Amino acid sequence: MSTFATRIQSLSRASRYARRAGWPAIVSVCILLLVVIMGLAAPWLAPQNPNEVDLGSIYASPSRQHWLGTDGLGRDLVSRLIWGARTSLLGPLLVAGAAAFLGSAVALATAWRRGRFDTVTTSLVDTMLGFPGLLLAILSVALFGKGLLAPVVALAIAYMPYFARVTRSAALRERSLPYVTALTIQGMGGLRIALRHILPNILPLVLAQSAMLFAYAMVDLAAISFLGMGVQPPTADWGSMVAVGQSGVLQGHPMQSLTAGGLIVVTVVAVNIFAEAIAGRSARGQH
Amino acid sequence: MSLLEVRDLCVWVQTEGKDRQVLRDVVLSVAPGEALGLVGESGAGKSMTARAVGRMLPTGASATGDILFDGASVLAMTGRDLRAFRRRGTSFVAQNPLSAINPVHTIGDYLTEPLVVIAGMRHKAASEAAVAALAEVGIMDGLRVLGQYPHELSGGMLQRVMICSSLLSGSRLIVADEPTASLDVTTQSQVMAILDELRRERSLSLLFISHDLELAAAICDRISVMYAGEIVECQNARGLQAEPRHPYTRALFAARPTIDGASHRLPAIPGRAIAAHEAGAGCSFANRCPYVAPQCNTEHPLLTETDGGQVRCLRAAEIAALPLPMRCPP
Repeated sequence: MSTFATRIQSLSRASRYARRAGWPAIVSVCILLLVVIMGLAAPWLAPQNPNEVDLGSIYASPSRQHWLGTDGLGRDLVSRLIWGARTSLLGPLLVAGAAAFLGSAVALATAWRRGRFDTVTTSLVDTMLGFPGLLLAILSVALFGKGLLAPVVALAIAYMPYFARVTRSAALRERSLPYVTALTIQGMGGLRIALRHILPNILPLVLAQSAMLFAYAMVDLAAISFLGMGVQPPTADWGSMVAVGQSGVLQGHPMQSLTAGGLIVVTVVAVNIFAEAIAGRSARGQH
Repeated sequence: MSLLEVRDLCVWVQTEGKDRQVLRDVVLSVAPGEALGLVGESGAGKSMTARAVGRMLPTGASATGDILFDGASVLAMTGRDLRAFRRRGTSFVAQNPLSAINPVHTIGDYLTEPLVVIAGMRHKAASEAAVAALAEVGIMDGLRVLGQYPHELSGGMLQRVMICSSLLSGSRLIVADEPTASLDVTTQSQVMAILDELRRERSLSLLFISHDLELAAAICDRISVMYAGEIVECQNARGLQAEPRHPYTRALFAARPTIDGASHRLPAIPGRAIAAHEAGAGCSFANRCPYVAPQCNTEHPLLTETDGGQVRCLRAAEIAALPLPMRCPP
């Protein structure tokens, strides 16, 4: 009985959140869920092997067998798009996660210590801001070779300063509040106060920023794939599908570039709206 | 020996690039089990004194003089010693409890965290100790309160939770900085009664900071009066009420409303309270003092011992002989 009551309660709470967030946020969350499910369940959802070449049906038009047609090697587009969700989502997720982790660490450390450590670290981070992320990614590919990892590492490092700056200002504001003084005077250690008390208070901002970084990383990783330095064929990836689809566009078969590009755009927009919803909620939460 | 002894404490803070003095030769002592009231107007330096005791001066502040806790110099403490002093030596009861408790954690987290982290207790034992301590401050449904968030409790409840937290810390000195300023009068008296009773039961020392002279006199053994960053008078509470020696204290007592039912126009002290850095060479109260003499403007009075207290006034002896200012002129 009580579990039923609490379930009703949590349902009604969810619907209240949803109503307050507005329909764009709901739609974007639904889209994101769909894309994530697509990536996770790719082996079961994909109608065909994404890498199976069929030179007999190059650039086939949509049919019952190939719902969106095939690409220049006769591979089924739907299957490639579904499998492509995996790398296309994993890359940005790693970038956003790593940048958020590094950025929060730098932000909390500088806001906590202040003084000279803050000045030096913040100036270093600001210097990093001047370095273009894409260039860093290309350099890192040159050093570590093509694939998913090199661009991910490079972008994480390149995005960290943006993250650190915004988070630091929030952490500084939080740090000056009386409850932090009260904790210090209770003899709590700095690490504990920073992680257990300040971080939860700035978490909405951290989440909102991570979501925004996710969207940026998706576009940048797609660009790196497009340049041919990211994920290598035959692995399906939306960014590289757009790139490979170029020749098809010239021959009058734009389906591959359009669908893959469309998925990138839709996902990025959904993530952005989602991020904005989180940010808005946290802004309202702060009286 | 006193538990807390503040000797000639001077504090400067940086404002707009300038060092400004906010405390001038503050002298205090709190014996074990004693309650000392520190009263004065806003800006007199009461809270700054409290912050100095907890070594929580604002960034860029500098201090001279000494603060001794149990014989050890607080100002000279570093790292481990400072943390040990903060953990077990003193505890602070803040003016606005809602802002002094992390909003994202429950009351249970707030009360048990120090026990778990500092005293190394297990969570379950810490929760039980918290419930028991909550009962002592008059919160009987402690188990329910432990699961609540700060914003769900009233100001009076939260202030009791803060007092409860000082009890749990096992500190020997409680520094209460206007603990009842944000409470209504009824809640205020309840909270003060709890604080007073628990302090006496456990013979804890209390440094009670207030602008409410009567409240301080009611619960403190001795009272120090601050004006413009310095102590102008210190006496036991009863003596201070009966025979205030410093003109400022005398004027403060005259400016209180009475409870005899009749409403009169209250005598006010002319002028405004000056800040510590505005004080000139003479007595800081000279420009508002009804007993001012020529030497008051040139010579800075020292805090001199009188029978049963200290007073910082050149003419203290003469003034003591004068009748108190009329409380309610007919």
